[in-house]
Amino acid sequence: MANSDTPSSATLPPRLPDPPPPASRTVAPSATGSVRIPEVSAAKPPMAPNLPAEPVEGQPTVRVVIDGTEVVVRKGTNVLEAAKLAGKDICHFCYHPGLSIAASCRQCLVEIEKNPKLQPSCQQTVAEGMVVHTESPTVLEARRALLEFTLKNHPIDCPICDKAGECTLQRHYMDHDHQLTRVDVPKIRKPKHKDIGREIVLDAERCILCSRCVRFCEEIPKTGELGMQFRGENESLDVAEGHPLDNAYSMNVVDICPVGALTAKDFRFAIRAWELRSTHTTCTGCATGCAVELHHRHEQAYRIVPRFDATTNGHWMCDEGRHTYKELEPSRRVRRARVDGEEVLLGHAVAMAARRLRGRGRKVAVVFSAAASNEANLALADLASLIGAERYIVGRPAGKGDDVLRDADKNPNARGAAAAAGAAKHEGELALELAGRAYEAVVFLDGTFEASDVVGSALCAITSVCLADRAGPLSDACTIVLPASSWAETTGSLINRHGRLRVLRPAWRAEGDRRERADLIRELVLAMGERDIGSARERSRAIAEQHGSSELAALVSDAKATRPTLLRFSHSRG
Amino acid sequence: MTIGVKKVSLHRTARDQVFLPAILEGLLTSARHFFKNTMTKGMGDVDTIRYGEPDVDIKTYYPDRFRGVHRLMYRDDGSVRCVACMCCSTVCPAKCIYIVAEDRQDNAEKGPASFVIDELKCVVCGLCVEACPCDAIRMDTKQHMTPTERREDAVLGKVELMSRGGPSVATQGGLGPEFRAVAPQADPRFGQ
Amino acid sequence: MRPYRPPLVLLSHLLVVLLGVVGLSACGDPKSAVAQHDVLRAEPVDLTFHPTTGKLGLTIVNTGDKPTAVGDFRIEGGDWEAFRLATAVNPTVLRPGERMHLELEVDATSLRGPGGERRSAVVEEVAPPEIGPNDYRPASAHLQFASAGRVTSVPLRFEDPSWVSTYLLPALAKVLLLVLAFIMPVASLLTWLERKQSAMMQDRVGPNMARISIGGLTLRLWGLLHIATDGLKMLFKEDFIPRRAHRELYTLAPLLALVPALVVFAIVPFGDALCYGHLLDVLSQADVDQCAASRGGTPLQVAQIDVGLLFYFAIASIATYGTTLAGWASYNKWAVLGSLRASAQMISYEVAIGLTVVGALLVYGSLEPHAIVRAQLESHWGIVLQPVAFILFFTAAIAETKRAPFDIPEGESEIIGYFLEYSGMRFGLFFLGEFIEVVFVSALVTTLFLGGWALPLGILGASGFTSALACQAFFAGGGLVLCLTGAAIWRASKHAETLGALLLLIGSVHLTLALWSAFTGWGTALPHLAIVTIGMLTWGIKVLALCWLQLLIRWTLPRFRYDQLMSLGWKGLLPLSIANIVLTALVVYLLAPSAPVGGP
Repeated sequence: MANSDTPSSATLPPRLPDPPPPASRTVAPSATGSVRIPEVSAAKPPMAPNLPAEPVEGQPTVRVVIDGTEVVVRKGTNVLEAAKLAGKDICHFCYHPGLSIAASCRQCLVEIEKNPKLQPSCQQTVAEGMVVHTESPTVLEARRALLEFTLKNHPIDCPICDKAGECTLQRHYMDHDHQLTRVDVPKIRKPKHKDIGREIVLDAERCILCSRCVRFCEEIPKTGELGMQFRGENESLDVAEGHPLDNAYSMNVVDICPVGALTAKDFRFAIRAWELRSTHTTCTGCATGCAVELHHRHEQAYRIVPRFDATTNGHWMCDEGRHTYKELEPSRRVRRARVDGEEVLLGHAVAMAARRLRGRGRKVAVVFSAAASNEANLALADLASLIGAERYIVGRPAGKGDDVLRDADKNPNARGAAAAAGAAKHEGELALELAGRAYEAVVFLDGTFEASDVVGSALCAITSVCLADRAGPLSDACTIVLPASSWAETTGSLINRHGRLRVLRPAWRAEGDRRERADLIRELVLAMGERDIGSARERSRAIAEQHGSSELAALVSDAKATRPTLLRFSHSRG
Repeated sequence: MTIGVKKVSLHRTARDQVFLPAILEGLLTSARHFFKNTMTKGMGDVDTIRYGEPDVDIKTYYPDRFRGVHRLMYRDDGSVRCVACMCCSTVCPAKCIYIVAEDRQDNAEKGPASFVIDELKCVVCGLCVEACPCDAIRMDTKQHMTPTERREDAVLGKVELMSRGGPSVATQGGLGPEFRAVAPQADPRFGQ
Repeated sequence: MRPYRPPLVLLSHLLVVLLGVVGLSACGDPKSAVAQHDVLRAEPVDLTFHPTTGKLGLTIVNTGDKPTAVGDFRIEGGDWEAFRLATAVNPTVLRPGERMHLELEVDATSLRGPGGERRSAVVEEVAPPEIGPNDYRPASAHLQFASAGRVTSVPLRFEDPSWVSTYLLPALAKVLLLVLAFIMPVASLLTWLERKQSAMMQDRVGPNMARISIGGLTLRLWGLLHIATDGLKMLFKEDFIPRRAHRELYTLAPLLALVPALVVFAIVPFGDALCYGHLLDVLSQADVDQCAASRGGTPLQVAQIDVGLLFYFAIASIATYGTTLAGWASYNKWAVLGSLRASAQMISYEVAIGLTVVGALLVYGSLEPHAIVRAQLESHWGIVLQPVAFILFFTAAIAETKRAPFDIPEGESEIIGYFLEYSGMRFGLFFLGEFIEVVFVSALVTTLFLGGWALPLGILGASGFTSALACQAFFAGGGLVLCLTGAAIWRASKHAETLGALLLLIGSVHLTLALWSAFTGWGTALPHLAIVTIGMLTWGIKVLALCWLQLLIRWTLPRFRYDQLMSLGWKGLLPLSIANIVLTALVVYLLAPSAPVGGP
């Protein structure tokens, strides 16, 4: 175990060992027999240096008494994590389980018996027989006093602060301080709304100098743009002249900032945090498949923030992935089916598509998509085998990757789609064949395929069916467009680059005629007079059983599992 | 001390069960009011304020805390005080306040690009005024929302709301340095 | 500035008028005011035969103060052959006040066809109307008899009037009189009174804002104009029909609620009878009866149906369809639930109404409302004979109209009702129907229990007040009430001085009449027109008072819960009405053991 026996060290964050490769699994949807899911490959998420305090099998443990409760914790953990196990949430600012420990905020002071002074619980490693008091009068007074000190120079501009509603300082003030200000001297003025990088705006007045962001930049992207300058009450956070904060993970500092000192330009003044609803889902930006929360309101997405997942992404995600919510823009959604440029009812469009595809002798191609879910790809595989179509697989072009989280493969489900498609040709061949008018009909699973002008004019001439969730060049070129639900409206699964099953959870009900792709293909098959190939939900259930995914199984069986949480009632973030 | 228990007898006499005497009593009471109010000078017990009569100045009857049509206050430089914190639209039980925030180039940093109140939806509860941290929205106009012929006319925008507004000098973000002079020292919530 | 209010001036005017009247009446001889009648009077004063009438009775009364011999009965006149006395009549001596009955009949077959040449001897300037061989020709004669040297003659007439002139035209006239001149105004007045009265009862002002400004003059009329504004509002509101509603039934339902309420008024008698030819004569009850039989007059009742009350039950039940269809056709589950509540309630309380009426019928012996009122005139009012039935009937009838405290079907403040989806004038029809039902309930209660058009204690007969004292009591009492009310209204409102003055004036006229009667003995013989007018006014006042009472009840009592409603209907009213029937039947049987058994 390379992880933190020395949690305070500011060295590189250690990695968890790869999870054991599970046995190869088989998905057996109703129609086409089994589809092989590839083996799990190496996974290297940036891991937390401060693991939870639960004892791990085969590792040494210690016993501590916290507020009269005796708990058994993993040896080497800190008092703050141990207290969490005892059900005590010690308030803190600078401690973050994914970062090294600074113990600079002093907010987490606790009383430890046989120790003359209060100790910062984040830095204090547990020892056998340690007796800790987290709610003694001394501790409470220390908390209150430290909060008052922290607030001394804090500009109380919560009304204009984007963090308001999910601010750790607000929460702690309400829980532990809650008194009128006694400050009768002017507050120290520092730079406000300063543009410090591609994504980030700094408000140095709001900063409480916890140094989380500084440690993040040093430890995760290892770029170290942020730093503290000046001393005493004039100490402030800033970037060096000419070195803006523009690494690929810079927006994580917004999440970890306990106050509104660092805010995202993208989310600036867009909406208040308490108005948002949160849906736990998976990032579709690349093959990593980070666990994320999609924040949305009234069927409109506002931002994506990372969700802790020990096996995939730890606490972080990349800036690129955060911007993927923009493809959910309502104005770009395809809401109605279109046949030959005219909006028609969905049933009519499906019937038209079925009639044009049905001819036995017709040469038909189906195009799998590495950006679509397993369910959609498997349904398309069923369709392909029913009508004897040629198979192609397309995906997004490769992009930048690194060894932290980002993958060069920008398709969220490359492995799942490849497994469903089986032996399939690739997009270069598809473009050639289409340009050569080799097929009378083609079915696209989504709008990923980038059609050239030649191919576009070819698509106009033949029966081209596109299951599009948003308008794009391909859906404009196709003769029949069926409205499909986007990834934020879909219950589905993806296979990431590690071969793990990632779950897409619907954030809101698809509006208009939009349906899940697998359901659209099922209706198409039914309209062609073929046998029932099963709904998207049945496919999800089968995949959940195959992979033993309780998350997906619960999602399919329990309607409540799909209900988004109102952020107002969840914990403050940061 | 023991807790006193009062037992209420549910026994109903024959008089109660016939109902007719009680009904007659009620009818007589009603009739007495009817004849008193119709037959005596000055309409008897009727104590209604004749709102809308030309010779009645209704504002003299309204208490100072009467909640009328909203108005938006402005700063010294004439710009709107509102910082688009959405507290009012969040707390509004009728969901009748729609605000779109924007960057402001001056020190205020944030302000409303549009501030719309649908007075038809408004339930005149006054919670928006209580929620406002900036003394930006008030309901002290003593005006009722005037009837409109079209729904759109009852949807007030920033300009109409500010046209009723006035300058506000409240310190933003709490009481500020003068707290010793004005803070309620004996407020039991805060001790000291 | 305070308006000029001259109460003393007005009172002194009144005093002058009164003194003048008293002085004038003192100048005349009271005896001379008594009309000179024939000593022997025939009741009715003339006899009208129709082809379908059999024998008709004639009564001769000695109105003089000494015995008179009667004899020499003869039938004279152009068509004397057609008429004959049905019974042998011998000369006899009638003591004062004694009556003598004789019966006459007509040989209708001899009056069929154009007739012989005898008629051609008469020189006629105008050609007689064409008479077919199977038609009857009119005939006239007179019955003569001699007494104390005088010959008295009673005109006899035979005519075969068309159905149109005997029944249809009078019925239409009465429909217009009743519906246009009474029900509709009263129903629309109730829409105002409902609000104004409730306001007065609850110490509020009520509707007072609608006004008409003509130049500088502004009319408010205590909010009466709200009737017009409400009507306009209803007419101009959106006529909404739910998308999946059954359009035909949705349109039909308000009509089914309104029309039966209007139709049942056909059976309500709002007066005794009107004799066309004798408006200024003093008539006897026999004359009026003859008019009531549509011979020479018309009953003041749109349709004299023998099974009148059954007709009411039959038609009123149709209104249940109106409510049920309204709920069902609206395609709205709350409307359906409301209509179910309404129909269940109406059906439940119809049972109670029907059984309650049975008790009254046992007493009156008729189902025909006109006959019921006449039966009350001959004994006592129904409220004296059947007090329990009165309360039960009134209760059940209020429930039948679905008004508070029985307004769960509508329950506008909580559970809504069957006309949930209705708007504009469609809703207005339901509303109007409800108020018309209020008027009808009042009219029916007046008919069954409050003696219809009659004044209390039977003080007003067919020919006038039964005594001069009754006349004086009536006019003095009425005048006193009117004057006091007028004075109170005068005092109460600066806007109502005109009304107060008007009431004072009418009241003082009444007082004058009372004085006149006291000095002259006037009042025992009044012209037919006056009797009819007083009767209709009495009927109207009773109906209005009951409407007022219903509004008073509606704004006093809280709404029942549904189980309480059903429990009251089935466990309260129903057993009580059955008990009432049994008790009434017992009493009727014991009091009239010699009543014919086995029918006529």
